[in-house]
Amino acid sequence: MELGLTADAFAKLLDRLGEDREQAGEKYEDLRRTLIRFFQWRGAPFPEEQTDETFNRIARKLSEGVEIKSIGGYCHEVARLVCLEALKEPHNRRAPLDEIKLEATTDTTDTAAEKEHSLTCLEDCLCSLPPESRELITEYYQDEKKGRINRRQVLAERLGLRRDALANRAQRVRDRLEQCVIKCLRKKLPI
Amino acid sequence: MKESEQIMTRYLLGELSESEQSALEKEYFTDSQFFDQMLKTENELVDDYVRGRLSKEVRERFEQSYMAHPERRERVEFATALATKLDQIEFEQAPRGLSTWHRFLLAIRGQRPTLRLALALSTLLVMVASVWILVERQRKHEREQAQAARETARREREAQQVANEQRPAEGGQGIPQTTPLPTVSPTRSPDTAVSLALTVGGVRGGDNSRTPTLVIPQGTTQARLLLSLKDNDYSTYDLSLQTAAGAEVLSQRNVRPRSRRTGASFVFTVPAHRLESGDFILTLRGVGPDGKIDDLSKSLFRVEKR
Repeated sequence: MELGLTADAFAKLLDRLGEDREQAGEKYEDLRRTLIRFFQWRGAPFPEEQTDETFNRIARKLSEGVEIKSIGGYCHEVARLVCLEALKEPHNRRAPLDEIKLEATTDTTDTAAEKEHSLTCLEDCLCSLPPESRELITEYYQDEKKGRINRRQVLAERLGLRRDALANRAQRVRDRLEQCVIKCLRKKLPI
Repeated sequence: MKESEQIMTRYLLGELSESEQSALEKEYFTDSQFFDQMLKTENELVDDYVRGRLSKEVRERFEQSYMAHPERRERVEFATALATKLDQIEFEQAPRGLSTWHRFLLAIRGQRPTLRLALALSTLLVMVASVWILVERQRKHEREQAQAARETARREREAQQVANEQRPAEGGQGIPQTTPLPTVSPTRSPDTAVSLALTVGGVRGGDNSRTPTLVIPQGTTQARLLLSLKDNDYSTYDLSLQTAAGAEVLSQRNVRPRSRRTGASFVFTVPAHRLESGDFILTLRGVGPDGKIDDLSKSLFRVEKR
């Protein structure tokens, strides 16, 4: 599997996504996010690498002159194949369910040190967010279910957003925060 | 939960068929709003798991399927840290007037379900133990009060009895009125006392019944021996208390009895600490006008100290 998206493939892909480079870049980021989630949800072992492989294959097809009507639909088709190939690889096969079950039910933060580490990473990442994003995420995700619905309504009105627009904004901030925390957790993991 | 959310949840738990998965994926690859809904459903599922809001069945399915992937486990780890942090913020921002109980609930809310259950059980255990201790203390207090009341009533009855026996007998023959005997006055500060009534018929006529026993509970300060005489032929009497082995415990001379309708009675008070468990003999002697002393009776009784 070729690692990373080549510069040429990237350029071809951006051309297909839109004439305006900035808008094309945003669409690329959205597609990339969707692909990574797809591979994670499907249980593929290396979601980011498999995302790059998907883009490479799409770019190859574009350079061959293949006309792609729906880029989203085509992405899905290519990604499915990449995922099936990845899961068929012997070294990519998942461990037997019993072992996974044992591991999966182990609390990954069951030691005080690990929990402390997670909280430290989260606090560092929260500090790295702009203040309005920090406030948004702490307000949006706080409180129990009933209170949360009212709280979000109040927050949406205060920010002048519709409920769904607020949800999308909160989701993006959460994704950013999550990526930051996971990066932090992986950095300090013992080799 | 809406049908679309149910399907999304089943997808996230790996429970859809290949064709069902493919159909859902086409939807979120081509519709950005649908994809945002997927992300929201996933976050809610993970947050519900972290907060212990999933049913047992769904939690098991979640742990078996969703957490089988390392990157998804990282997502759960992040959600756990976020929930803890949000609870800390909420706790710090809680209104001042919030009760200690509500603050406690806020503090433990972010913890894992098993820990929350353990904390709740511990709290319940402490509460039950505290209530039990309070109830037991109250019962003990009530028992002690009841015992004290019974003791007071008994002393009052004895005092009344003694007071009644101090009234002059009908056709008295100049037998002197009762003079103060060394007994506990009812007006004295409360001492705990026990009593034993002994009846003597005279030297010749002994009491043939089984040995009377005086039980002295712990804490008793005095023992009263009530001696009743059928005949009252002497002006004064001598009383002497000895152990069965002959050691003298206490004696009183020139004692005047309390007159009764028939005969006379004595109340011989002994400090309880002078009486150990064992057999004792209370000897009564009559003192004649010429000073001659006659043995009138020897009353045997047993003491049991507890």
